[in-house]
Amino acid sequence: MNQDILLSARELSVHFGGLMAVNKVSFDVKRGEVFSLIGPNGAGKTTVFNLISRIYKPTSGSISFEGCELNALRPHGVAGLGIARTFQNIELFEHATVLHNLLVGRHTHHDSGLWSQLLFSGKVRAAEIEAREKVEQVIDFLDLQHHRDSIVAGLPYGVRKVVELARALCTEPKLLLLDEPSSGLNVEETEDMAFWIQDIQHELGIAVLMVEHDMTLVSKVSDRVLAMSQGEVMACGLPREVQTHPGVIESYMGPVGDVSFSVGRLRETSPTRDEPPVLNLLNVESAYGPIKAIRGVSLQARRGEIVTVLGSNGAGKTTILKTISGIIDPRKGSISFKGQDITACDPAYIVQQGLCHVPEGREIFPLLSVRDNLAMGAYTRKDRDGVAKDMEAVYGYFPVLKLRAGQDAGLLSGGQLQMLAISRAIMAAPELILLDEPSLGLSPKLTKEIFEIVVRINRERGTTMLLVEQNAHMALNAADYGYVLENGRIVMEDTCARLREKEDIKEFYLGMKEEGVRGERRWKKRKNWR
Amino acid sequence: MRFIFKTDYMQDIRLAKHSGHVFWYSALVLLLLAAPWIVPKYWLSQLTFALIYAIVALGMMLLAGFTGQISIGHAAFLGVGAYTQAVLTNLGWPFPLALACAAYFSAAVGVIVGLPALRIRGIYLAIATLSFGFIVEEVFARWDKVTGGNAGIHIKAPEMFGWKLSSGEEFYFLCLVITVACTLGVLNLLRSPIGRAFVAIRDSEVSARSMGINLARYKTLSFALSAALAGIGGALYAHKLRFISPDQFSIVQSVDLLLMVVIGGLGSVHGAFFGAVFLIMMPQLIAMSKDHLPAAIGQASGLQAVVYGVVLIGFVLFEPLGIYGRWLKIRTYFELTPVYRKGMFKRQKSFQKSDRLS
Repeated sequence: MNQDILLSARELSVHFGGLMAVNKVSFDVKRGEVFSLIGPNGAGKTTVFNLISRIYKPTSGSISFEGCELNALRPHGVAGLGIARTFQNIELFEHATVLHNLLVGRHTHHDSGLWSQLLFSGKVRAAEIEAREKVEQVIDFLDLQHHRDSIVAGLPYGVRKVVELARALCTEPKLLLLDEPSSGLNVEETEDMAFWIQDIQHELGIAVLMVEHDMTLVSKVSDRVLAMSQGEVMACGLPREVQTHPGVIESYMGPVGDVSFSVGRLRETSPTRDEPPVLNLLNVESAYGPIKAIRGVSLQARRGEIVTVLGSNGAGKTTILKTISGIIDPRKGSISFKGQDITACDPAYIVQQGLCHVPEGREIFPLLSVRDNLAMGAYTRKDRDGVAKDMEAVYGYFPVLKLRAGQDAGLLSGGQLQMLAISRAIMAAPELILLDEPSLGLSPKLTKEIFEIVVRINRERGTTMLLVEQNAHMALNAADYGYVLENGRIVMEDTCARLREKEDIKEFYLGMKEEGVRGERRWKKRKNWR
Repeated sequence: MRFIFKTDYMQDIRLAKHSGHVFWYSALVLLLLAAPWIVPKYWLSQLTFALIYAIVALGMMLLAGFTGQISIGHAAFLGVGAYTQAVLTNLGWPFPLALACAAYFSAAVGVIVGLPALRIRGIYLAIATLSFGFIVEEVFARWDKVTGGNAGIHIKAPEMFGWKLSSGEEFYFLCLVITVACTLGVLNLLRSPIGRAFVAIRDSEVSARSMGINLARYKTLSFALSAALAGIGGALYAHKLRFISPDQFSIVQSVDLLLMVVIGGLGSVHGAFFGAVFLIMMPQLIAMSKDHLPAAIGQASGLQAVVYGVVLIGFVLFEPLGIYGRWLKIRTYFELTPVYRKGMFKRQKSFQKSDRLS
C-alpha cells in the first residue's frame, strides 16, 4: 500500500430507491493535498461526503483511510480516525457560544470518566486548560477572537462558516472535508477562505477534500480536481486539465466568462427613475435584539425594474428583504408599496397586496408534491383560470418542474428547489418579487440559467424584482439599478451599468482588479467609499 | 455594569466567574443555613420540599434542557427512588447506602427507558416515556408484596452512623447538603466534555456525531443521570412524607415535573431552582388567595389546575425562557440603567428560526 495515500475510495456506489446517487466512483486523496470535487447540482458530491463520514452506508464498494476500512466503523468513530467535516447548510450548535462549539471539537481528545468529571478533578481541569489552549490556537489562526463569547445563533452567515471550519480544525484532523466552503460568501470573503485553505494545507499539513462551485477558488487552491456528473466520474486531474475538459464545460461550467443574457438588455420602454416608485423604503431601521442590522436604509424600486442589493455577509441584505415582507418589524422608518403604507403589516396581508418573498433557504414544503407547492403559491388567488394559465406559464419557464409535477418537493435537487421557489412566487401573480440569493449553492451553468429566466420573467410579465445576490457579476448584469450595502447602511447607489465601472465595485465585488491590496496575505482593508 | 478583564483561562472554567457571584451565592448559602432559626416550622417544611424538587428539577433540566430529550414519565423515576429507599430503609439499611442504591436503581431503569430514545425523538419519545410512566405506576400498585400495593407503605426516619434524623430541622440540613452536592455535580458536568456533548446533541445530532460523539452512549447517559437525580429526589421525598403510595407518582406528578423546568426556564441551572420554588409556592399562594376570592371561584375544585394551565400558557407565549429569562431581563435592566434600551430582548417571530434549512 502506498504511504502517500491518505484516503482511498474504490468502486463506491449508493442507491436511494431507484435513484443511482453515486455509481462506481474511485479516487485517492494523497497526504497534504487539496483535492476538489466539482460537478453540477445533483451529481452526488455531497453524497460522497456523507459516505465518508458514514451518514450513509454504501450499497457497494469500499473506502479506506490510512488502511482502515471506514465502512466497518460506527458513524461517530470516523472523527476519532482524524476526519473532520463541515456542512453545506452549516450545522453548528446554535444556542451555545463559539468557544463552546470549538471545545466540542476537542471531544475525541478527552478520556476522563464520568466520576472525575462530576467532581471536576485536577486531571479534568488540566485537560480543560489544554483543550482551551488548542482552541485558542485555532481562534488565532482564523481570526475569531472577536466572536469568542458570542452565541452562534446571532452571528452572520459568513462568520458561522468560519466557526464551522474552526470547529473542524479543533479536532486536529488529518483530512478535512469541506462542503462548499465559499457558498454564500462574497468575493472578499471567498478570498479569505482561499488563504485559509492554503494555510491549512501548508502550515498545518492537513489534507483537504472539498466540494466547491466557485471555479476561481477551485483552481487557486486545489492540487487535483475530480469532476462528477450524475453520480459518475467524468474527469480527474490537474485543475487546468479538468476545467478544459469538453464534457465538464458542457455539463457544468457553461460558456466560460459569458455573463450576458440571451434575452438581453433589449427593452422597449426602459423604466425611468422619475416615475413614482412601486416600493419605497424611507429611513428604515431593523434590529435583532440589541444588534442593529440595518440603519436608515432608503431604497426605491420602480415598476418593471430589477433592483439589486450588493453587500458582504452580515451587511443586512436579507434583513432588508425580511423587513419589507413583514417577517421583521422595523424599529423606525416607513415602507410603502404601491403608495400604500405596509410598515409592520402582517406578512400574509403583504402577500395579498402583490408582494412575494423567495427566501434564502428556498423554504419549499418538502412533503407536498411539486404541483401542490405551486398551488400553495396561488393560495390567495380566486381566479381559477388565471391560476391554471400561470401554472402552464411556469411549466414553460421551467420544463423540469412539469416532469416532476407529481413528485414530493423534498426529493428535488438544489437547482430544482430554487426553480420551484421562484415558480411558487410567480403563482401568487405578484407585482414585486423579493429574491434572496437565487444562486446559493448552484453550479455556474445553473446559476446562469436561473438568472436568464429571472430576467425573462421580468421582461415578459413586467414583474418588478428586488434581488439580493452574492454573485455580483450576475446581479449587475441582470439588474437595472443597484444599491451597495455596508454594515447596514447604503453607501452607494447607481444604475448597474455605471456601478460596473466603479473601481471599488470592481475590486471588492467583481474581483477584477489585480493590483492594490489584492494578492496580499489576509488582505483586510478598511473600505473608503468614493 | 460589570466589566471583566480576563487574563487567565481558569477565569472561564471557575464556577464563580467574578466576585459578585462569590458574594451573592455565599449570602444565599448563609441564609439557607440560618433558615431553621428564622423561618416558621411550616415554611421550613415547604423549603425542604423545594430543595427536594430542585434535585429532581436538576435531573429534568439535564435531560430536557441540556440534552433536548423530553420525558413525560419522570414521576416513575421519582417513584422507583422512593420505593427503593422505603423498602431498604425498612429492612434496616443505613441512609447513605439506601440512597446510593435508590440512585443506582433509578439510573438503571433510566438506561432502559433511554434505549428507545436512540431511535425516536420529539412527540414519539414523549409518548414512549408517558406509557413507561403508566407501566411503572401500575407495577407499584400491583406488586403489593414489596410495595404494599394501593394501601401504600410507611417509611422510617433516616438513620446513619447511629444518628437518627427525626426532627424537621435535621432533615432540612440533610436535604440542603444533598442539594448542594447535586448542584455542584451538575455544574461540574456542564463545564466538562460530557456536558458539552449533551448540548451538542441538543443542537445538532448530525454534527455532534461528526465530532465523534457517540449518540447512543450520551443519550443513555443523560437518561441515567437524570433518573439518578430523580431517584435521589424520590428517596428524600419518601422520607419527608413518611408514607408513599402509587398515586403520588401518577401522570399528574410527571406533568408537574415537566412544568417545573419549562416555567423555570429550559437550559439553565437557575431555572431548575426557580421552577422548584414556583411549584411549591404556587399551591400556597392559591390557598392564601382563596379566602379573598368570591366563593364561586375560590371554592371551585379545579382552581389549582386552571391557574397552573394559565400560568404555563402565559409563559410559553410570553416568556419561553421561563422565570430565569425574566430574571435576566430584570437584572440587565438594573445593571444597565440609565443606558438600558427598550427592546434589547425583543424576540423574533418564531418562523424566523427556520432560516437556511433546505
